[in-house]
Amino acid sequence: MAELSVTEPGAGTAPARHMDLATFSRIVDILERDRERLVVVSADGAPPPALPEMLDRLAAGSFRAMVYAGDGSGWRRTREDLDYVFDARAMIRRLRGSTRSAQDGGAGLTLLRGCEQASLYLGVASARPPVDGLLKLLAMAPNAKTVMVGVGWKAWAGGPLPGARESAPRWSEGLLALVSELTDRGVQSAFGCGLTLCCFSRKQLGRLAGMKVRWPLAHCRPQFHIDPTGLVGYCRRIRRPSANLLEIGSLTKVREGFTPLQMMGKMCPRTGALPCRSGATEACGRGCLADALAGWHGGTATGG
Amino acid sequence: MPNLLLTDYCNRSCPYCFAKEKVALGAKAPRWHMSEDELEVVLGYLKRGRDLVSLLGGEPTLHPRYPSIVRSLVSRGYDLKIFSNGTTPQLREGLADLPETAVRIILNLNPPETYAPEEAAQLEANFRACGARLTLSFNIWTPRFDWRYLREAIVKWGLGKTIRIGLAQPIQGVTNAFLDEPATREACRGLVAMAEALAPEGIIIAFDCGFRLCLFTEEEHGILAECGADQHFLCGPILDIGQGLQVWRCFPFSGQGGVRLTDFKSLEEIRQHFLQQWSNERKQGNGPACAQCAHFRNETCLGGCLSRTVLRLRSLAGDG
Repeated sequence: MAELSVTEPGAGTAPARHMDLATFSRIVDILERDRERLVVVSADGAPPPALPEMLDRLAAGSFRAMVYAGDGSGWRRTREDLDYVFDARAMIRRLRGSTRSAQDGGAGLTLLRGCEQASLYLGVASARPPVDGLLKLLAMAPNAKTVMVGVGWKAWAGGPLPGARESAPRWSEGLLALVSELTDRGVQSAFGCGLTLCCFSRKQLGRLAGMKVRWPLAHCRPQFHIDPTGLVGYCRRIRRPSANLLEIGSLTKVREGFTPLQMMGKMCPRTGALPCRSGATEACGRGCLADALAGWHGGTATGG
Repeated sequence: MPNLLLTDYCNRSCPYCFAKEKVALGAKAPRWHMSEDELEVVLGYLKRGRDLVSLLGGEPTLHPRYPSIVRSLVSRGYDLKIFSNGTTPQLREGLADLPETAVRIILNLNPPETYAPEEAAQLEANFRACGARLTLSFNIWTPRFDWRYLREAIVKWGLGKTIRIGLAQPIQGVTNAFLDEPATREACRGLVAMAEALAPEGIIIAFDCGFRLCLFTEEEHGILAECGADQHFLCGPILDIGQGLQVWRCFPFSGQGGVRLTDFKSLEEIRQHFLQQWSNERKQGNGPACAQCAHFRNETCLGGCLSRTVLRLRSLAGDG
């Protein structure tokens, strides 16, 4: 998987950086040669002027493309172009599941309705996910068949989210209730990266096996984030070290270079170096690598 | 993804074989091989780079042009999944030159004592040549089974760390070996123990189609999840494409008469045809409890293998 970031917000009042069409085409050619199967075009905020041509290029290639569309507000100009993006999936991010957000994201909802396969993103920031608001949003966008559930990474590293008072078991019950509610409505849930599997009890995992949820639940995979100049980082949160894809000419080679970094994530935030069968089978991605690199895991492993 | 039957000839005869209706066994059996023209017609229904091409048989490597078909498909941008019994030298021919991501092998491995010395030697040579691109598959057709030889092969030859688990299912119109309900439950208990034993070595089990949620307790599902098992409880039209471009819903229904590929505009249209054809049976599930089950209603479990359901309904109607 590779994530092409075609727009990056500028710092402070600086204008956003856009990937130009020539760079985009060169990168897509490389990914196609490497037989990458999923390209995510990240167009948060203001999409680049050449977005329609970029989408055309993806539609002509051998990709399954997914488009992160931010809150959809910048897509008013180009949303009709998505109708002919073959096999594209629009993901509206940053809708928090409230009616107010739904009104703010009017353009995003139009975009969602225009897509063959659509997903909603729900950022969960408390032990009680906003189920009612989410259901209202789903009613407004009936073709959204998947809800991506993003959870604060650190919340799952062995304790509550900093500043929150809820404990991990309460979080997991809240998430289970959310997934159950969505399952009853025929909507699949998929958890974002950084969870550890042991946040759920065995009984809860048993219940989840009977729900519409994407497995593995708890993963941390390299996303290969490519910025507008062609620099590849491990993921959105780990931008350094990086390698220039345009100079190297192969994502496969870049991937090999990241192997030592990936190995550093093998330390579990809960058990440290102790063996765990979920970690051994990669049923659990052992938390977020960015957190591990920041030393956060070490703190929780010792209870600190 | 649909399965392309490259040939109907197979050099082995497994008691549970789900392809029995369509497979020519023995050296003197008449053989059919898919022609280049037929292959091109099938490829016209696939999206290059998005659809996997699954090659099946019989034993697909016994197609006289197997190595060149594989090379040609990969050079044209298709990714392949090849289902083989692993006992022919053709399986490894030219494989080293092809990217691992482009050609994956699923090898159905039976207990070691069922292979002749020459077959065992070919298996070893193929394991050595394929390495991690090869995933083992294992069919359950007895309530108790030995799986340790699978672990030994994975560890010894560095094979892919997933074991695909199939439940032998009844084939309409043919007698084959499959488990009844109590024996299936016992086999599933064995599967949980197997998953637990394999997990510390990073080896996981992955369910093929036809499993039901209620074959396991909630506790067992939890254990399977902890052990990374790929649990799903689906049954849908797979589409097997064979002689004369006939398409069957899946192998257990290959004795029922299929449809002709070229009578449809897309594979999705054929899938819809089969969903419609068996819609009443699909609403029943494998057992009487299915109709009242919340998992069956919300389609997290599709009630087990449709072929079993059909068998049950025929038995109730007194014609099975």
